[in-house]
Amino acid sequence: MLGYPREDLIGRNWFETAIPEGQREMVKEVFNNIISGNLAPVERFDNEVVTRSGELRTISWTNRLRRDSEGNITGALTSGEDITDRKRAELELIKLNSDLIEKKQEMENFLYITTHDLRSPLVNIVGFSQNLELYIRELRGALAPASLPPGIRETLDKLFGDNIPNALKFVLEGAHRMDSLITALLKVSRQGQVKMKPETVEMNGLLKNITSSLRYQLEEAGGQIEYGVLPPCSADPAAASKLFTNLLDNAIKYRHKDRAPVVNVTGEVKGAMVLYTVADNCSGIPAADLSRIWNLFYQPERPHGSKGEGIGLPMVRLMVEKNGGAIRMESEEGKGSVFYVELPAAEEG
Amino acid sequence: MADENSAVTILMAEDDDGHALLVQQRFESVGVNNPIIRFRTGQETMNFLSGTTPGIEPGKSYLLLLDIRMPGLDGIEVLRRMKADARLKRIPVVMLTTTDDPREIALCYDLGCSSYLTKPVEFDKFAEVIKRLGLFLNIIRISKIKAA
Repeated sequence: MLGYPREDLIGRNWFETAIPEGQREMVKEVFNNIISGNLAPVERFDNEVVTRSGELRTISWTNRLRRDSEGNITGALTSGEDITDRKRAELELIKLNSDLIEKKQEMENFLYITTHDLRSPLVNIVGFSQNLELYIRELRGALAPASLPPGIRETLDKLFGDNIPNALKFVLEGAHRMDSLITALLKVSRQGQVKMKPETVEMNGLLKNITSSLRYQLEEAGGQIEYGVLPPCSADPAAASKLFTNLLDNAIKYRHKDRAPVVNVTGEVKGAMVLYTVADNCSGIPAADLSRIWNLFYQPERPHGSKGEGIGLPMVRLMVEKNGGAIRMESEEGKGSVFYVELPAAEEG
Repeated sequence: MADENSAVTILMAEDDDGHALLVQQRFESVGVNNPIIRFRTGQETMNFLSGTTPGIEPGKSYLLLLDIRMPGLDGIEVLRRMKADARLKRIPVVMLTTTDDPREIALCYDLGCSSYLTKPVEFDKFAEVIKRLGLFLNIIRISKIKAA
C-alpha cells in the first residue's frame, strides 16, 4: 500500500512514517481509542497516509478487537482499503452535479431574459409594419381623385394593390412566426422557473380528471384511455397533471390513421420510485427521429389538425426532471410508442 | 368631464424610441391628444415624480404609462416606490409590457397598477384599451395631486 519493501517498515514508527504530519495527533487518538477498547466511534475510520514516493492516499480502515477466552483485549486487527480513487471519483461526481445544476439554472435565466428582450425589436417590426399598412391605405385614398399622367396610375395601382401589401404581408408573417417561437420559448422558460411543490398524487384520480378533460378529443377519435389501479407518486400536482395530459393528448393527436387510439397506462413501485408506462397504438416514431423528439421545436408530421408549437415533449421532460424523475420512450413505427415515466414514490402513511 | 380629461397629462416611461412613438401614435389615432411627457429611464421618471427635476405640479392630473423592462431602475421598482409614496400612490399607472407573462402581470397588479397594455398595440385593439382607460381618465379627477 505504501510502496515500501516489507523489511523497510518493520520496526519503524507507523505514525512518523506513514501519517501526514498534521494528522498524526488525530490518528494517535484513534489508535488510543482502539487499544483501550473504545472501538465504537472508530470502528470504521478514514484518514490519509503518505506513500514512499510522498503521495497522499486516502485509506478506509476497519478495526476489530481480538480478545482471549476471558474477554480480555489481546490486540487489534486493522485492515485498510485504499479508497483514494473512489473518493476522487465521488468528489468529481459531486462537482459535476453542482456544475450541471448551475448550468441548468443559467440556461433557464438565459431563456427568460432573451425571450423578453427578443420581443422588444419585434414590437417595432410589427407595430411599424401596421403603421405602413395604414399609411399606404391613406396614401392610396388621397391619390384616388388626382388626375395622373398615363401609365402612372397603373404603376401606382400595382404598387399599392400588390407589391407593397405583399411585401408587408411577408414582413408581418415572419414577425408573427418569430413571435410564436418566442412565445413557445417563453412558456418553456416559465415552466423552468416554476417551483415544484411535491405532494402525494393519487394517479387514478388524476387520470380520471385528465380523461374527462380530453373527453371531446376522445369522442371525436373514438379513442380510449385504459388503466388499472395505479400507485401514487410524489410530485407537484399541477406539473403531474400537465405532463400526463400532454402524453395522453399526444397519443390522441398522433393516432394511426386506420385505427382508433387506445392508450394503456400502468404503474409499478420500484424501490423509491414509481415507474409508469403510457403505451399507445399510434403511428409511432421512425427510429431515425427518436433522438429528436425531446428537441425544442421538433414537430413530427401530424395526420390530423394543425401544427403545434413543438414544445410538448421538452416541457414534459422538464416537468418530470424537475420532480426528480426521468423519462424515456420506445417506439415502433406503425405500431405505437411507450413512454416510461419515473417519478419518486409517495411516502407511506 | 371632457375638460377634466383633456387636462390629464400622460407620462410615459419607455426606453425604446420606437415603442414610445408607436404608443403615442395609437393614442392619437383614437383621438387622445393629451400632452405626453416622456422619460427614457426609471430613474428619470422617479426624478420627475419626486420633484428633483421640475416635476409634477400640484392640482394637475397625471396618468403614467410605465414600461416594465428598462435598464437600471425598472418599471416594477418604479411602481413599487410610487405605491409606497403617499403623494404618488394615487396616480393611475398603466404597465407597458412586451409579454403577457401572467406572473409578471400578477405582480404588477399586486403592487397596485391600474391596468396593462401588451405591446405591440394594434389599432383596433387600442380603441378597446382606451375605452378601459377612459374609466381611469374619469376617475383621475379624484386622484389629483394635492398641493404638498
